[in-house]
Amino acid sequence: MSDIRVKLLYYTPVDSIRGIYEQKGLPFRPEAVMDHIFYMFEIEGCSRVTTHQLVRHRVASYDQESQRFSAATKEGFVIPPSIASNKSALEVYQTALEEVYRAFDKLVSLGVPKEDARYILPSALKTKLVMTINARSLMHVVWLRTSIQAQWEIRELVRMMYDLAKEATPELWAKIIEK
Amino acid sequence: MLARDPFGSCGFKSHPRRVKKSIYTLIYNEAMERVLKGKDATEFGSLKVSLVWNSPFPEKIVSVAMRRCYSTKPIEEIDAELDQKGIEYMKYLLKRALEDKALDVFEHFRMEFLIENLDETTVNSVLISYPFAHWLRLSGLEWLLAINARTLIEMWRDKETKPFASKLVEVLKEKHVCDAFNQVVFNE
Repeated sequence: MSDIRVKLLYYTPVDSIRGIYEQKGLPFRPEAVMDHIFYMFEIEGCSRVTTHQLVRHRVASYDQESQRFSAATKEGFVIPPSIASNKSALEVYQTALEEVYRAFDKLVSLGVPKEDARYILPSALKTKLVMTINARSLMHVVWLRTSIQAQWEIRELVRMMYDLAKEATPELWAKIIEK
Repeated sequence: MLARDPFGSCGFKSHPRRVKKSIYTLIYNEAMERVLKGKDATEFGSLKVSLVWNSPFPEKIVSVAMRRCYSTKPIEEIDAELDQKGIEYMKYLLKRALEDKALDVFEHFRMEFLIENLDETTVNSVLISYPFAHWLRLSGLEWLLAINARTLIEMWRDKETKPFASKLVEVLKEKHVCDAFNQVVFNE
């Protein structure tokens, strides 16, 4: 179990669009307005491995915690279950990460700017970001990233996003994804 | 021939020679010249624009995105910090984003407009240069337009699309949904 935390900051209520259809006397089809329903998420506690996978979904807006200016090494890191459940592997993993962090601090203390010292930091580092995405793109993300071929961490993250989106706009998701 | 980079709105910079030779550019320029050349705000006189929905607390949404980049604090603390520092601080952040040309943070502010009395040719000419504006035809000359604030700012700064963008900005000002944002961004 990871420490991922997802919060839905806002979303477009489907009724706001449906109201226009009713006003115009047009039949409303949720699948027709998927580009017009938006969700803004705040995501915390996932690794940079996962955010690299996430930003491959390009029809979305992202703003992620910068390592140039923030105290990146204080964020902690993600331990994959396959390593956490293997005592010897965990020891190797933690020793390597501690060594990297020591080297990062040493480089900074030697006057290397944080923006350059960060080249040594691992992808396991936890990060935070905000993301705004429309329903069509989110649906595509859900289809791809909740499948068993997807990696465990992004699967967990996207499942949380899906649960929040479905709770906020149930009619949209019930009619489309659960067909 | 217009000199504008058609990829400008997506944030991509193309090599000038490549743009010059691009068929896309030629098509784009021709369409823009044909449709928008000489068009001013008065020609959109019959256009009717209504705001259907917008992101709540737009100035705060943009400020949250901006602070997210440079703060290690969890969202609740950023939120509390913005509430405590107030709207003047958010205006300062918006100004900084504009000055730094960090328009990506404005993408989190979304708007939905109902546009009436707008012909398809004009929609197509805007579509070709602003791919992140989503148009949905309701019927005939009626459209739903989903747009983010970054695209709106870019349209408003572009002399070719400014008359159209100004109509959207007028509605935002009338509705008072983002007075501080309007003041910082569209205060001519």
